[in-house]
Amino acid sequence: MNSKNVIRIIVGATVISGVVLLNYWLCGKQQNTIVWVNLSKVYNEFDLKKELEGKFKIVQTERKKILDSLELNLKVLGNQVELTKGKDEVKLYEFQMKREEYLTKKEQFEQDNAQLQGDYNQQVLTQINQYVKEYALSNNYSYVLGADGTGTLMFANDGKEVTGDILVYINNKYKGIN
Amino acid sequence: MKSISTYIIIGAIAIFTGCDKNKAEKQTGAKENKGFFEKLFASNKEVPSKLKPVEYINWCEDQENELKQSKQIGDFTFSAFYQPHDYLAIKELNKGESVNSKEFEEKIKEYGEMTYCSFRLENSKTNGELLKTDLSSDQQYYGRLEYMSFKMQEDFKLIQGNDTLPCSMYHFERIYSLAPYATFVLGFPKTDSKEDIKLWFHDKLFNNGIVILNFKTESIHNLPKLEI
Repeated sequence: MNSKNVIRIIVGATVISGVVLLNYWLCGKQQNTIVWVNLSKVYNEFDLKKELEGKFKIVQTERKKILDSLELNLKVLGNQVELTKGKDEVKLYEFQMKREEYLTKKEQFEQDNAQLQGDYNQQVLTQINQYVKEYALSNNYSYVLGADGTGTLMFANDGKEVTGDILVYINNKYKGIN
Repeated sequence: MKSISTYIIIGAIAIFTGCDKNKAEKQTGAKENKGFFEKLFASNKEVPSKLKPVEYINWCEDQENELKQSKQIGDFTFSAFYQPHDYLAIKELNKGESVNSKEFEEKIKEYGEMTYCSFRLENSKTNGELLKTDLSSDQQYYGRLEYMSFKMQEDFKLIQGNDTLPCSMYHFERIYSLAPYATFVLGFPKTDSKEDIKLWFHDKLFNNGIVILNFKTESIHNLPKLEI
């Protein structure tokens, strides 16, 4: 190998290393970038939301079954009270007690359902916030704006939409796939 | 001239592969703060073939070997440690360098057909007792304590392939105000599946939702051999 070839190899290796490092620097540098996401799409297509929605429906259905059963018993008792024209005091008392139980249970289930739905919404939002923050940090984005159709974000000239990217990212994060 | 054009072509290939890698990482969720050289050498990490007990313990506890997984949600850190039977046996025998093989085999038998993990729930924004985070009343404190001691077991599952397994062994290690975290020892029935193990936990206590920690199959099935 003559000295000319050695110089060529050294120059070549230096150029390639320079290009690779410059490339990593350029591709990694995205500071002060504004991106935006379609919030309702992110929320609705987040796997945790779908999983919790399924769990909520199961609880809601079970509670409805209990209420339906109490309602049926109440109707049967109501018919019996009607047949005796309210003269059977035992039956009338039993009907009033069952009616009270039904109304209390109904109110309690409505409150519990609202509480559970509120908790689940909070859990979904907490995780979306965390993963979007991690997504923005890992991509060096300065702002991630949320378009929710209410007019908060009406126009974003400099921003680019990253809804698809964020959905893949947050769903992978949720599943523990880093 | 010919050599310059060769350099330009090689340079263009380097730019293309670099940008493509960057884009692919963004789509799949790249690991944060990983340097170029770390990325370059990460795939070349080799699992040692044989390790002495102390080395084995250190190897299992080394974050790099991915038997420990964690996730941050809000102020809370959820972390889990997949504990191989060999690791548990050495820890329990507590013999350091010299382990009696008979005692060791007996311990391994005791662990039976179970998968073990330890799980830690930590509040990274406080130094006080975890149970006292955003506490509104004494009643709430005792409610939390009861939940952690008995009911929380139902909120753990282990998912492997198509199997979803209930937590069949559960122990809450209460440490009062000594540290802002709580540790749980979990055991699940073992399956023959060679797929990734996902530890599933629904945090109803601090309202953080479902937390999934994933242990890759290559990490849990490609362990070094223990030299006794």
